[in-house]
Amino acid sequence: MGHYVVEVLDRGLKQRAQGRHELELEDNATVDETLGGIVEALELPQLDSRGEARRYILAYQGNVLTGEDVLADVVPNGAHLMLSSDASVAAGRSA
Amino acid sequence: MQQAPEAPLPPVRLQHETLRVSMHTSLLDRLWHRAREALPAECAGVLLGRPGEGDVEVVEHWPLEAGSASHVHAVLPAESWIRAAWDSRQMHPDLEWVGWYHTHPGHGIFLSETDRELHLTKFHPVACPRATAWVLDPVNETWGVFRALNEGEALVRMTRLMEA
Repeated sequence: MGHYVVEVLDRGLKQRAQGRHELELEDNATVDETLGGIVEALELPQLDSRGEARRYILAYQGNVLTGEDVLADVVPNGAHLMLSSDASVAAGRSA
Repeated sequence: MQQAPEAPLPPVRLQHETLRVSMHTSLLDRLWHRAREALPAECAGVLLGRPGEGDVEVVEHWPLEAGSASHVHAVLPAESWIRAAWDSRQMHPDLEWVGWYHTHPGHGIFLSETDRELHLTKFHPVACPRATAWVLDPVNETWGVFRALNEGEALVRMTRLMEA
């Protein structure tokens, strides 16, 4: 297990999920598996406001982490990770 | 003629608190510059500042890279928000995110439903009661500021008290 700080960027999520969280995450899990574990641990919503599956992305030093890479291989133990919803939002009149 | 407020903006008495927002004219000038450079497309960014008791001083901005943009839309993927969060924190560790801005080239000052959804997602009024959404129209040279009252409710446009 590795110790990480996970910061939730979307403040639209329920209040208890906002801000920074110190989590123990499996070092031998892939990034995608880790992401699922974080969403479950923080009890983040699985669906968006339209009832569609909400996807989250995880980033380290501003770079998005995805796929089958094992977390411990790409991110130092104790790193500050950022989590955000993957909803691309179109701002503007016709969006 | 371009409007150049010296701040403070409102106050507008809302349900829970009066909010006074200030932005120096030099920052507003930079926002106008970026808005014109992006023409004919929209552009967007994050506002950085110092929230206080009942007031917010907006002192800097950080551009958001659009996934795509035209004169009526700008797609802001989550990656852009993460990059802006990381980079702005490195450059301005003493400042907080206090809102966001985007442009409406030629189509006026308002928030679309998408804009409202974005504000409630990124700057939920429970977590960020003093966050504001700024809209600039670089074609008509008008601008406005909005804030949310309560969760799920419409955002209201704020009024200006002083202009330089």
